[in-house]
Amino acid sequence: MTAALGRLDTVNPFADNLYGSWMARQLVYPALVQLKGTELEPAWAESWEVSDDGRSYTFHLQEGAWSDGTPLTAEDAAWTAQFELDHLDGAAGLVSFALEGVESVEAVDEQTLTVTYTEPIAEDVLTLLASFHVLPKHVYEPHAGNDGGDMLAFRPESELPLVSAGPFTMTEFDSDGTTIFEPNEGYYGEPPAVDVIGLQVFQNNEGLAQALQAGDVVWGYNAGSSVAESVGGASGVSVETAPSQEVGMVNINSNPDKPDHPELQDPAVREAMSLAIERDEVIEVELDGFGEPGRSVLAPFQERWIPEDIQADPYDPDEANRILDDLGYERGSDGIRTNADGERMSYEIVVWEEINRVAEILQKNLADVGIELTPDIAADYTATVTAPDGEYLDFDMAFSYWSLSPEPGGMLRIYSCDSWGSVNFAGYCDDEYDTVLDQQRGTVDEAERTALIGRLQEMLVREARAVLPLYHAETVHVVSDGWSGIEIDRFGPALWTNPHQG
Amino acid sequence: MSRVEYVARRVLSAVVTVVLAATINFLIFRAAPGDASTQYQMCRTCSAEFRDYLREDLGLNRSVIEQYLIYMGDLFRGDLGHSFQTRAPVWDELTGPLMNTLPMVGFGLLLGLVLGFAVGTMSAWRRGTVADWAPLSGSMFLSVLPVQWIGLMLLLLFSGTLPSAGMSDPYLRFSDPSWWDTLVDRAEHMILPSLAIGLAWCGVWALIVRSALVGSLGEDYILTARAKGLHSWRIMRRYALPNSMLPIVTMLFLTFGYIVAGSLLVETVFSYPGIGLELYQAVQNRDYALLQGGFLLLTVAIVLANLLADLLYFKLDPRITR
Repeated sequence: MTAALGRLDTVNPFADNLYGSWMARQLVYPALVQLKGTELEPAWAESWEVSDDGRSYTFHLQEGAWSDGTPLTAEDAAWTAQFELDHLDGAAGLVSFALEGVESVEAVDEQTLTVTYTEPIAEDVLTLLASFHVLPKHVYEPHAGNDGGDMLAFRPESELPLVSAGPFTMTEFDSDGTTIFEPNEGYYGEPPAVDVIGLQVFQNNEGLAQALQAGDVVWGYNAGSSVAESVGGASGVSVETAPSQEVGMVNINSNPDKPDHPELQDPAVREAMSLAIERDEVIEVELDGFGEPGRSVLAPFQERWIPEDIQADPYDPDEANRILDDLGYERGSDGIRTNADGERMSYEIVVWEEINRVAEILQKNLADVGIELTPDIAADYTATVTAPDGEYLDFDMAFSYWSLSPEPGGMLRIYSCDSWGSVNFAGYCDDEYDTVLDQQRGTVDEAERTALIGRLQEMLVREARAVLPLYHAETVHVVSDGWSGIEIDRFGPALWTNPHQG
Repeated sequence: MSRVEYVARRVLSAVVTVVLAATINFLIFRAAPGDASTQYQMCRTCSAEFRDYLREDLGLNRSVIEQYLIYMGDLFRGDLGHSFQTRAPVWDELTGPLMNTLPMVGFGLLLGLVLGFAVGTMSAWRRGTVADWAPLSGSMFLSVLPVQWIGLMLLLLFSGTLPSAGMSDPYLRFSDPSWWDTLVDRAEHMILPSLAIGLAWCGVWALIVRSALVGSLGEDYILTARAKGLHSWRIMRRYALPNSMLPIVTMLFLTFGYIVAGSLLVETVFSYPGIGLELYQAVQNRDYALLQGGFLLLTVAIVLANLLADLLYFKLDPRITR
């Protein structure tokens, strides 16, 4: 079976977190749990239980072996976790989100692992562990030197077959072509239904669309809207969509010390801008219609955590104009409004090249309500937004885009004061927000936690409006008819062991 | 000008060109904002300390002058450095893709050459007739189309008949293929990208061949040959073609540089893992070392091809040494 994924530089998680390698790691490295939608399912861990204080989870692991014969034990997991925890701000920066809030990981015996969190956590948080891939300690440990720096240069696929304990092992590697995976005989779980999987890299959407129609490729994994649009209606292939796991949004500089444009701090001005945006057009242009209007900083697949009264802002330029008029921002002769200091309401939005079309729509929409917008294409995104030196004094607005993991805490943490200077693209820092954020993490009761998570979203996208959610891109797969078992909402080994012909 | 002096001048100017190009090459990437340590893949949530460590490890913390001297010194020893992304020697990173590209682009250029020669000769021979303007304008039309667009059209046209991506069938090895099967498989994957290049180039060739031939056909010796009652095809072959070789050879060598540069767009359309695609990825990863190596390779290829063309002129044009 051939599936098309993005580029795969290496399966070494420390060196490559591109989408392609993230998916490929599920084939070769064990994870404690796996996901169906946002639901937890057992994987390497058959079962688990929580300690009375709610801080420690004990996982009972299946017996297994690495493909080179070395036993797969809890020690591998403990070593991997320890390495990641030791290098959170360094070599493990790309993967550390999976161990968010973890204090320690200990091997009790060969088949028992205890994960201890800094505070009590809800079971939902364990969904993050689906992205924690256990590495063969005997293969990776020799490269742990140089404060983890050597790990970034390590390429496990330079020796094939790859030492693997997942359902497959890699037998041929081609970062620009097709990487071949064959079943791993010693795999502890359900053996795969196919004899071989090839993950092929396509540089060109039309090439992928043609390969899908010709039957050369069975599964365009998260192929995207343009491939779906291209094969639309062709016989032998179907387009399948899953609820969006992504969010694209406009962040507004919320640093009160920003010297210019004080009016941008006003939630009413922000609301007016939000009402001026025609989200449906953004979705049509950017996603060929495969998406939903931006509603919150969480994505539709996390529906149960999004308060019902937070809905996408309607497109209402008249109301936007009314709000701005009432606030006294009058239009100049060029049609652009001025603020109380006589400054023109002309803002820059930090974007990246690929998102230029979205920026053009925003530009047009805001011009209709008397606000000028200029895209600023940034090479070094974080540096541009946080300039100068992490103080957020420069930028007005910034586009950001995230693919989310099911556990909502990670996304909400982006807007904490802790993330100031790095991923916090709004320069938002609020004591109450941080307090509630910490509170929800220690809350085990589901209803109570859901309420706290809802409260955080209220603060961010309703009260402060530091973020204007734009759109949620649906996950779009293109799948060959005549194959079954392809469950696009899965994440974990079953994603790859279930598919079969017929 | 003596023969030795001519050669020495040409070689010296080639060396100066390469050194200049290497320098500009080095400076261009330093002038761009951001560097490998700010690149998303390397570091998303890295601390400032770890970034500093990366910059130190990659030698980016040294002064630009120092980096330049180290770079030129290594270059002099034939060392292109190590890729920032994979830490493997740049030379090793480039040779694999280059070996994939050479036969594909080579075959494409050959195809363009043969087609162009045929059209050009036909046009010059039958100047002013339908046999002149019909094939010529056809090939000219193709040559003004972007090569990636031709590629896309071929992709749509041959969908299902010929492979749309890659350079070989990854599953072939499971069927224990003979060398013949392997060759056929490689050729099948090469046809579309090569054809795209061939079609895009044949118009240029046709025009050059035609104008060179039309020039020679107007010479007095052709008139003499005609007066002698020689058959016109014989005149073409014995007198006109050999005397038109000068511009044609120049152009032939100039297109060698295209092997690296021009493959980029075609390789992206057909996901062909060659040098163009490798450099495209290097740009995205801000892998200076790999980019410098790649562009240097491109420069050296063009300079060498020009030098060869200059030297070949001895053979073709005796006037040079006079």
